[in-house]
Amino acid sequence: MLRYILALILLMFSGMAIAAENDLPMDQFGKLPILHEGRIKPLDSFARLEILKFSKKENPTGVMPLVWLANSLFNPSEAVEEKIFLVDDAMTRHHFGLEERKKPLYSYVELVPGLEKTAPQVSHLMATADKNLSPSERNLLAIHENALEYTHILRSFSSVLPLSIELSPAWRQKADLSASAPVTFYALQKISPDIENQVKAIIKRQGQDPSKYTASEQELVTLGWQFKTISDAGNNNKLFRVIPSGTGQEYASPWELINDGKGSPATEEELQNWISLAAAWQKGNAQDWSATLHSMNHDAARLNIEVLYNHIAPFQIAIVMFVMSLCFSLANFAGKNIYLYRISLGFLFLAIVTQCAGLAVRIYVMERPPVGTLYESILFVTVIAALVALLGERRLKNGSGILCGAISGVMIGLLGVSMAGEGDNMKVLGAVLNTQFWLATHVLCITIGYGWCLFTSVLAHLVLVRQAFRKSATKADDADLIQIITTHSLFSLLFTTVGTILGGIWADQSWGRFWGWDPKENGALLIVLWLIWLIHGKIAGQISRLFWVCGMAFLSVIVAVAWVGVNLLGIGLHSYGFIEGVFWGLGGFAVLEAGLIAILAYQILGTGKGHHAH
Amino acid sequence: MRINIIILIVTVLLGAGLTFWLDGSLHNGKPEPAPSPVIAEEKPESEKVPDFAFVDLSGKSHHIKDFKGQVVLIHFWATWCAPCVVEFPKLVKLAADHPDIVIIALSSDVHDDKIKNFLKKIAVPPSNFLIARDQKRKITTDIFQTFKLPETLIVSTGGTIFKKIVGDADWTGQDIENLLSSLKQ
Amino acid sequence: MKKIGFRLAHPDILFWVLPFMILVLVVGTISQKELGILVAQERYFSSYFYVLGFVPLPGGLTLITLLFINLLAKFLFKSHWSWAKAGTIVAHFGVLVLILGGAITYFTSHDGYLMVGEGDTSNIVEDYHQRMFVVRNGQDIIYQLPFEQVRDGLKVYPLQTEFSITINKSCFNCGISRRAEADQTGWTSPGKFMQLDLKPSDPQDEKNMTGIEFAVDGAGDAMNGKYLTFDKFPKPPQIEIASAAGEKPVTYTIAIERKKRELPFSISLQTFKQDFHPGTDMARAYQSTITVTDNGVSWPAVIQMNEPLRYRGYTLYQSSFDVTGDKPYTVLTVVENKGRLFPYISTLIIAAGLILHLVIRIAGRRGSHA
Repeated sequence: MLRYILALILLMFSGMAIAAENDLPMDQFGKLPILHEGRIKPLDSFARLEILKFSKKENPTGVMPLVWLANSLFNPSEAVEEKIFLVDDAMTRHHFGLEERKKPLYSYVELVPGLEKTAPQVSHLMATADKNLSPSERNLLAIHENALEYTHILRSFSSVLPLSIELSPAWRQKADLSASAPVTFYALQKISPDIENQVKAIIKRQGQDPSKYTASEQELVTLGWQFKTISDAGNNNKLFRVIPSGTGQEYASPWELINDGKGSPATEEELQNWISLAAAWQKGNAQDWSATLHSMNHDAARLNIEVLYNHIAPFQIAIVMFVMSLCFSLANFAGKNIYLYRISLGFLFLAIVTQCAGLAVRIYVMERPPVGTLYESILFVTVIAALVALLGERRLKNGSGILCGAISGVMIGLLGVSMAGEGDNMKVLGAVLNTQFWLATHVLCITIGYGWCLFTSVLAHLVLVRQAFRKSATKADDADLIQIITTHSLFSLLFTTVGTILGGIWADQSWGRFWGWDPKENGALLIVLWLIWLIHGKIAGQISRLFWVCGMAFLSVIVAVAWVGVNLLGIGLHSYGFIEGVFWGLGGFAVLEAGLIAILAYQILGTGKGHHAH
Repeated sequence: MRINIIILIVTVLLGAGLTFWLDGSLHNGKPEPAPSPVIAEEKPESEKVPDFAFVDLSGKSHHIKDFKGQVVLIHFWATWCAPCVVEFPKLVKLAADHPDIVIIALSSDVHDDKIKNFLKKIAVPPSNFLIARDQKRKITTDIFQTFKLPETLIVSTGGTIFKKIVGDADWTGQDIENLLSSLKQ
Repeated sequence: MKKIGFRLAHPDILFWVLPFMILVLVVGTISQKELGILVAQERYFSSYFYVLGFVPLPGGLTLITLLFINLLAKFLFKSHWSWAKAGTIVAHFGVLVLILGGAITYFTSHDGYLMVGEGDTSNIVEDYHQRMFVVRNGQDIIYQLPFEQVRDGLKVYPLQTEFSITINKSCFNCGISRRAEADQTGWTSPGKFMQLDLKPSDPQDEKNMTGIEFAVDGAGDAMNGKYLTFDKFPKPPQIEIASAAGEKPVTYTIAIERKKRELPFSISLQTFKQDFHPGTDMARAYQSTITVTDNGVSWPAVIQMNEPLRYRGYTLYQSSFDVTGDKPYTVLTVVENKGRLFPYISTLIIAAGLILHLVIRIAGRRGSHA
């Protein structure tokens, strides 16, 4: 079957020489709307998502994602040669009979024999539960899924692109085609009833065996078969929804116009534009290309902003800013200098502004608070931790606040990068989460709590480090820092407590129970209990000051468990699904933190610098 | 201590009292403004029907503009399409029951004979039921972009496409009756 | 009295209770993966003690009770109002109110679901979990027993009837297999060809198919025999008994079903709609348009995700639906909870207390600096 598919793609006309396609201006093309995964997004985002999915990189072949997409759409027979599929599992490469390469990237054509070979195995794997699959099997499934998805992209316009099918003058006349006009599926479907009738007549007359047919009969039967195969292959091709159809937010893929009755006089106009685009791309005609794009409707501000957001990647810039701030801040500690201090403060400030701008764009694009998914909450907590650090610095005035802010920013930012994962991280939300007010109050409150906790934890680390590596203890300085940590821990308690209870109220408002012992709820409660325990233990004199500071430092692990870790259970309403690697990452982090805190505490105790409450 | 006991009792009683007051208040019978539904009503499509002309089986020429002011059903079908053949008699009955509407049945057949042979097997269509062969499917696919048969467009008296029905439908059912009577007003 | 109060108010109680709370929270949460939320909640959070390995440990109820006593004693005996302490006292008082509200919820809340089809009216709320063994005369229940009390060998004589029912087999989660041919004598269809097998309970309570096999005696030769039925079985066995020859027979239905309650008002479903994110099968919203009828007065209402209907102490939420049949059904969760306002009150108090404490703390520090 897959060989047929490949043959079909190759059927698509490739006779024309391809001009240097990179010369065509892609900006306007990238701003065209596509309905993908429930959201209207620019083609630029779509192209990036798809190529990232296939190759885990945005430009594996060194071309822009958009250029790759355009080539796949308009010039599929060439695009199938592009090495874009990452096969990083040696076992799968072996199964597929793929040659070993420095970079394990392979083209669609190279994959086809292996895909065919493993098809029976895959249909068996599809019936197996996800948790019972080996990594290698999961990899195999992913490659099949990716290849199928790419097949859909390649064939998006197979209904209108020129086909390398010869048509006799008689048929051309019946199909209303001039002698030079390209043969397309659209033209063929006009004569399809006629072809079908004649094929039926031939079979009736000559029987089923094609070898008995005359040359012209064979030609006709082949034509009928080709038509049917292209048509069958178009079934379920719903990925590339770019043609506005009907009212509101409905978009249809070119094949849906044909198969699902979504065609109308209005869609015809839009489809013609795409046909012109395809022709311009194939000829490398920049003038036609730009003129057609110009006439197409893409004035939605949301799409333009999203494209800009894709290009700028604000959160990555923010991380760089945090790193710069961290560097200057450390330099400031090495040799006190007002300029170093100011530069580090400036970079922290810039990082916050960039991060906020990125969040603002997301709010604008998705029309909802930026806290619907785990990834979004990470972005948000980064800002909160950094802002709290600025607030803390106002009081500390010695750069410790900036240092803590920069450290939190870098750490949470990197966590964000690792969590961005594959696929669109601007997702639409299911019905339960799709509410503005409660999402805003509860989730904002609890994530502010997380951010504040993390800052407090980093500050506690700082105190530990200072105490451990300082030769002479200056008590007054320490007391001041401890006081500041106490204040921040109280703020953390305020936001996590109120956020947790608000979560209960949200649950009560939405599905009728205040507290359901859902893992995420329990996680939030865990932070609250931990904070209460430490705060009361210190006040009542049950724990030493050193233990208290260590406990505050360990808050980072508690927050990580409550925030990210509970998702690993894969149960409950808040589960965003099991993310591989997170488990080991989290475990490693917890062990590392415990070890670090223990070593610092040992150092402090050993040199007798710890200050006990009594 | 006494003041604390009082505070506690007063707060709990207040909470309980408020709950019972809310629970006990019966509906006063007045319809309160229902919360605004998040799901908007379906908007009818309002595309203008494009111009086209056709010649019916008896050789008479028509133009879509001739039927302005009437509810028109543009029906795409063919004798080789099984569901079309099944629903065709129901459409004929619909036309007979509603003499004030017009049904244009455009066939994607290749020869007139096929249509004529088919018509012999069913009831004679009334005069408001026009049958034409769409030569080279020019109207069906080129203008209306219809590829899968059957499909029916319901055109309002104002000449806009009010509804598109993909696939076969129950033409003798109540839904269609309601739709037609709402369009005629 | 005061001495005991002071001891109970001591913060070391809190200091020792909290680690156990953290432990039960962690253990209970992790165990949800295996046990399901319902069982884990019963075993760890709503229990007085639980056993971890072979170590008995205090459960959620014990710990929360201890915490409550500690807080109450502190509030009553050791909270003397002063500006410096006002914030903490208020915050602690808020927690006290929160726990009290939790207790009220624990004792007064009921939940269940009401399922109604488009154009239909209903006031029957079914419990989500509680299964009942029920014998009905027409629509009236003449005998019922919670399923936990059903034992193999149990023999019941429903009121006003001459027949008896003997339970031969009961399973909370039943599997179905083919009955061996040698074992088919005395059985009525469908039990003649299938039998119930005991299966371990599923963590997801709704997946447990509860069923019984039983024998009927004294109902006449035509009706005596062995029967089986299970939860959600569309045609539970019926016993027809004519009190005298030629008279219309009385029909008794024997069934396993969810415990049912009646609402003091009724709900009719006008329409059910769902809305999807464009181009996907991911729902964006659900919405039921209903009419509420109470004491002959009717009015329209709309229930949708995150916007429940509150009336006479009941809250009705859009929780599920069924559109697979020929008409759509909406499933509304019905909750009755007298403690539902307390979280709102206590959040306000706690937040106010903590903010007050922070303000006094920061202001006090500023003052001392100056």
